[in-house]
Amino acid sequence: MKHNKIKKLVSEYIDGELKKHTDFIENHLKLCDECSQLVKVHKLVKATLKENSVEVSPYLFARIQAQLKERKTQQTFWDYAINFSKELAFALILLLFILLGFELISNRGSFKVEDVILNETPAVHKIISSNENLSKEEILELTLSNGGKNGK
Amino acid sequence: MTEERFKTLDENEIVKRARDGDEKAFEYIVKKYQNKVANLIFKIIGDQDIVEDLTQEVFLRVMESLKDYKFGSAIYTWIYRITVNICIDEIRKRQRSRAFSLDNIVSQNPKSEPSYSPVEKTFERREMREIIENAISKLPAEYKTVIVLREFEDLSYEEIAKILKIRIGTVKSRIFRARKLLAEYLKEYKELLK
Repeated sequence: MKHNKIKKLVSEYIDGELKKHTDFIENHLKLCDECSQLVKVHKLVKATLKENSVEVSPYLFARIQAQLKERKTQQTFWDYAINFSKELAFALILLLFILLGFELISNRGSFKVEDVILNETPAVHKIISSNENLSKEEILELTLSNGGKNGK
Repeated sequence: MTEERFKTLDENEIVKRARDGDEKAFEYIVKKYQNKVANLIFKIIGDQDIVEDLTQEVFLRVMESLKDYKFGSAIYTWIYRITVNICIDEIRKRQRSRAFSLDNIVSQNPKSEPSYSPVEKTFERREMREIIENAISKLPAEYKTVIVLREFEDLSYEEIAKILKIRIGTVKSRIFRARKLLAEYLKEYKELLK
């Protein structure tokens, strides 16, 4: 077994997590300084970490409560702001749809100016649709009779 | 009074009550775990000045995420996970802002630490502790976290894996690498490793 693999097993042995090869590791530790150092490191670190402990102030919970209330107030404000923005956006979209509806309805009732002109002045209509095949006299006659609309 | 009321209750039940807005249930959880959380923070960060603030932050996050708590795992696993995440965030924040100096921690510790135990009244003992604390503080955050959970909290590989949401194999290798690095850092203090 390679020494690096043995060192990994030593680490597991230290933690009581090694299920097999425990005898082998125990024998190896008697002979190997490098691996014994891992055991020593573990003991030193464990002892050092266990030595000091801290205690929180008795007012910690009160501080947490105060902080929670503050966050709740802030949250309420933001909730209000977000809800207001949502409602405003909804109202604006609704208004936009209403305006678009009006525009569509008013467009349906509208008419083209040129269509009206052409309907009311058949002479012009005939002249335009003749593709310039009419003589001066014919144009004059059409204009005077307004394309026959005047009863001529 | 609060303790008496909840001592007989199952911890999941207490969490449910806290989630439903029972302030006393939340107070029970805070008071039961506050010192454990504070010590875990102290051991991982190594700076006592920030312990109280971070402990407070842990429980604020606990309260805010109670709705997401999955009742399958033990509550301490969940609280420790939040604690470790907050510690790692703090370490990264300090590293980013470059305000996190290892020399600072070492020089801060003597003034901020609580009183020494009777056996360490000698200068040598105190010095030895400082050397080891310095070595621990040099470890990368993920190695430091596993070594603190193992050596200070005495948690099994399985418990550490659950807290950190990593595989047991990863826990094993991180602990091994942390010990190897510590042995490296302490190599120059030969008398310590005799």
